[in-house]
Amino acid sequence: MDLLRLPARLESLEAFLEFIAVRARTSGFSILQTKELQLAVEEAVVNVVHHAYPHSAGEIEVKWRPGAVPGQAEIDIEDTGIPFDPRSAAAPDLRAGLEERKVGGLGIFFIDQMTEETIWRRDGSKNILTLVFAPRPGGSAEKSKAANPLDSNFPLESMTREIHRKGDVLFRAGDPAGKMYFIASGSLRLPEIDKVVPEGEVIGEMGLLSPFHIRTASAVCEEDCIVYSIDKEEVTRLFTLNSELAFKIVHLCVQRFIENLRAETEAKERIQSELRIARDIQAAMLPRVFPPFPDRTEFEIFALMEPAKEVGGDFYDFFLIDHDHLGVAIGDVSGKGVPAALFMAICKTLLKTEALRGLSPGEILTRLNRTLIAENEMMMFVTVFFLSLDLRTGEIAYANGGHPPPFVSNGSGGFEPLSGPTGTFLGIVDVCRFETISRRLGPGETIFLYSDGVSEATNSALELFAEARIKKTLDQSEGRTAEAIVARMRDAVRAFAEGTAPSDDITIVALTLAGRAAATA
Amino acid sequence: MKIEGKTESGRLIVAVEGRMDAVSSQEFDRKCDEWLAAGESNFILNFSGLEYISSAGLRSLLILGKKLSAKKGKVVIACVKDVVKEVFTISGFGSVFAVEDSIESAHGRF
Repeated sequence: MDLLRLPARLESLEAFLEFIAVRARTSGFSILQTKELQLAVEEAVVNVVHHAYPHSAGEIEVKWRPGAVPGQAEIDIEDTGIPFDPRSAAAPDLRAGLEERKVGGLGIFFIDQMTEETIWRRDGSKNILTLVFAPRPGGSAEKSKAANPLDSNFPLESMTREIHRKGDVLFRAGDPAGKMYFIASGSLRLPEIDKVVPEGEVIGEMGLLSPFHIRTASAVCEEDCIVYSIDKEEVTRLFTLNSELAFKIVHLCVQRFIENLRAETEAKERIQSELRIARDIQAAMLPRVFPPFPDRTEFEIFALMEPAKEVGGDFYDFFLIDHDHLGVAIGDVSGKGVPAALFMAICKTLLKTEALRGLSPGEILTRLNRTLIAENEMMMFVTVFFLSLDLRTGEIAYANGGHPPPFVSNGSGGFEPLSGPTGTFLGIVDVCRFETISRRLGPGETIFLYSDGVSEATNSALELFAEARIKKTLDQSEGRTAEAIVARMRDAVRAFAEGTAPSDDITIVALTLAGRAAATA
Repeated sequence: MKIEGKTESGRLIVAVEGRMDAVSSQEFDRKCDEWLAAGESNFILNFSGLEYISSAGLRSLLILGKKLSAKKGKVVIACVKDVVKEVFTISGFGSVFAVEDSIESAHGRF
């Protein structure tokens, strides 16, 4: 029996209206419909207060009977006062203006308007006014289902009514989970996830049902609140008595899990799209307009960098040091992803700055190394190969800081690794000197630079692409344009990897001196 | 229920927030009587924060309206919404009072 009995005084009105509001919200009535119910009940209650007990004090009893489906209910307003049928009052004149309009008469009118049916009867010494509610189509713009996550009657009789002031903490993250709450009025805030839980919702059920029984967030009252709480023992007891309620609570938890998962996935996708933007920014940092110097016919150059993840640690660069010298660089930062990409940007920029001074490649690497060491808290390191090509003579001067040696035309139609010390990587140890080596490139000859993402590409049998395959692919590309050489190498690596995702960034640069008619690719 | 009045362009803008039921309407009556005694005769009732009004609330409005009319004053009601709007419609109070969608247009009714 779901009822509330209070003295027949105006002071009792608030409690009666809250009694109705809580039941309405948990029975599938929307906020607007709930207010309509309250209007009808207020008129009925106020009627009793004003008329039922003219010579004495008395009580009013309000009973709630849920209907067969959500959005239906019956409410009884009972009193033991003088016999009085509220429907007998005169109807108001709805068309009257201010002067003619009478102050009374609206009470029963509202009751009629808000209810499906109004039934009054006299039972012994009692007046019983029964209000029958059914949802009216178009009566509300809100989804009443969203208002009641359980979509069935909440066991309020088994719950404890608690009043909390604004700022009260219901529970903290990390606390053992003890109770589940229904918010009858007010709203709660979960500060850790910056979420506000409004009136009509259930909170805390996850703590009761999750395997760890620990609160994952705190709940703080945004305003003065009235909540109904139920603890684990009572919930367990209810589960055995009311399997439908049990199912509905589990359903609610599953919904929450799905919501949380969706939120996490969205957050991940946001990061992914930021990384994709970063990839574009990084790609734009490397020169990618070909031919880069259309008026310079002494050479051809082509390059590409494909990061293993969205952003990578490889880089290449080329630029005119002065009118007669072309600088070409390739580098590989330890690691992958965002940290490597950031360090790569620094290395590439510093390298170009040093190179533009017109120093020898060995000195460039030495100075670059010192600068990197000075500000390298994260202990990242980078391999770098740098060459300077004299465009008048074809002479190249180069230095290597731990990078795989480039391949160069061997003068008889094939390729061979470039001679000279491999050196050591930059950024950690202050090496005395990087050595500068020189040699001459003949007309039509090519120098091919690559990163170890090429040589260390693996296939499904875990074989490496290795230098041997690089050389073989190059030997078969003799006479092609720089662009074609690069493309063929990239295709060869892709075909070798048989669709497995690359584990490292792939960087390829081909520089060919003019002097032979460029063969078609 | 919260009720606050401030003067704007010679009219008293009364903002009512919360609910006007049989209990809180008495407070509304009291405050309005104070303003009337102080000589205010042009009221704009800002109901943008009013969540609920029962027949008791309408009765208070009617009494205010009749008192103002006796003083050759006027009341305009602005920004009714939700159930308050519904109540005004079904009770016919739209023809008893001037009802406007905004404070600005309410000023225009004077």
